[in-house]
Amino acid sequence: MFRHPAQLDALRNVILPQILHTKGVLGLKRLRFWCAGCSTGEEPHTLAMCLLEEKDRLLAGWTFDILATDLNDASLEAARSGIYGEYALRNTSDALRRKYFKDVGDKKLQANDLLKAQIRFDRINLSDDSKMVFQKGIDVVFCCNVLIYFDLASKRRVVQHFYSNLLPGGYLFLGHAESLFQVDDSFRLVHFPGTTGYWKPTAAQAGGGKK
Amino acid sequence: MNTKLHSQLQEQIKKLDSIASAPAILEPLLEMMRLPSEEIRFEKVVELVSYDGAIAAQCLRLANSPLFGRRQTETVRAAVMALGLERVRSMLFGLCVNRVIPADKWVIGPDEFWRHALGCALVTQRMAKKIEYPEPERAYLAGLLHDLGFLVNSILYTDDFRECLRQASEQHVPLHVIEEQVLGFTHCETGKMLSEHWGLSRELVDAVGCHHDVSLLPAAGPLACLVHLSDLLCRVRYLGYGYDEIIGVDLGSDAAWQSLVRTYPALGTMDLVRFTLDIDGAMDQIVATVNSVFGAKSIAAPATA
Repeated sequence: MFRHPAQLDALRNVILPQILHTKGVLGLKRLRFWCAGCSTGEEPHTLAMCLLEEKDRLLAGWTFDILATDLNDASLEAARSGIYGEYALRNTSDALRRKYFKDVGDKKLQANDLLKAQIRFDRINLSDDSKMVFQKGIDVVFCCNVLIYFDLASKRRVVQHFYSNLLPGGYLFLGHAESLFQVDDSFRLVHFPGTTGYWKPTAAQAGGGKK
Repeated sequence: MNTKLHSQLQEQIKKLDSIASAPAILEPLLEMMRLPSEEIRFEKVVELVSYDGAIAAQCLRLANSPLFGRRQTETVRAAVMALGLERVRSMLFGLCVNRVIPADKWVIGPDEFWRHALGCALVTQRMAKKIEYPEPERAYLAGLLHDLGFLVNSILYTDDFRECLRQASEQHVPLHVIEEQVLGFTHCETGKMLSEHWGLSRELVDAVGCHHDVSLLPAAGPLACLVHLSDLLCRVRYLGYGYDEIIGVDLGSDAAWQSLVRTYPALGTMDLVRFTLDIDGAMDQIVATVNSVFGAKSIAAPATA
């Protein structure tokens, strides 16, 4: 949990206000997040906490859903159970633990119903084109340290899928040291304090600035 | 900024040299700053360093720090050799400027200021090398000096400038935006005036004056563009002025980037994610350098060459 605080800061401080503004004008009050390759679920649970904490502030009047997918059934099962030990929760504050987890003994905590209700888990193979094309209307994709296992051609295909899955103005986050350099040039690289993200330009902004 | 304010500022900046306790070596040092790095004479640097006991001691301490892997540097000459002319030159400059500014005029810690300056110097130089800009040392210097105006504003408008910083950090916005509102001018403008007054080269003056907005230049010089981009990169890698700015920087659509990429196509083939990770890697070195130059209090007796 909370392994990439800079990503969450960028989401909260820059990206969400931007997206809320764009969508708010259109009267769309719903956000969709996708954790692609969520492994045992730390990332979607972190995201869910982060968004719930903004429920009465930034996200007042908005609804959101989080899709969390992985290829591995065992990982997905663990993710669904939402049971984590001390190590996974080492960066989670006591306040958040009390609010979103319950003690299940053996020094383990389990995500409570409120937290679980925010996330929908599903099994998706990122190389499965037939499934990838159906993910639509996403605002932010998190795909951290997953693409490193793909060869260049499949990487390109997955990233192109993400590009069409995302709404204009949406963002793709990769792992800390991952780069789309020479993989894809549809996205625009954006630097945030301590992290980088990839932006899908809105139609209005798509013209200028491409190399 | 109106003409009256402009000439007022210019007058005050001219007086800066005579106020406070400008170290004796400032003048010859400034002369050296104007030279291209290949013309810096080793003997001259050793002489300047040796002239001031405290500065000599700091040079020795840095050369003996684990960062440079030297344990046995006992003379200024050896220390200068270990550190390299460029690093010594910037260190000298930093130390001198530090003494020009009275302690109560610093609106942020000197170490914080120099962390950003050195960080920017290093990033500008690295980027210059990557794109094969012919004078990476000049790029280093431009990075080091780009926020001179920060110091001018600290000295001349201490309270108002402190207020600027407070507001910038509270609102999480870039400093120059608030300066414009509170002071009516920015550190870019005062920095430009001071660097002109010091007789720095046109290109350096432009880099100092336009590092937040290269469109102010009729033809954006590569140095100003490099400094602008490096400043942004430093600020998104926690090498800013110690407060959180809310920024998302799309370098690819930045005017400076586009201008630079026309002259130096190598920039277009640079993996910026890797480059910023490089910066993270260099961070330890920057912090260690700043700490050993400006952080440590004790000053040992110097041994001169």
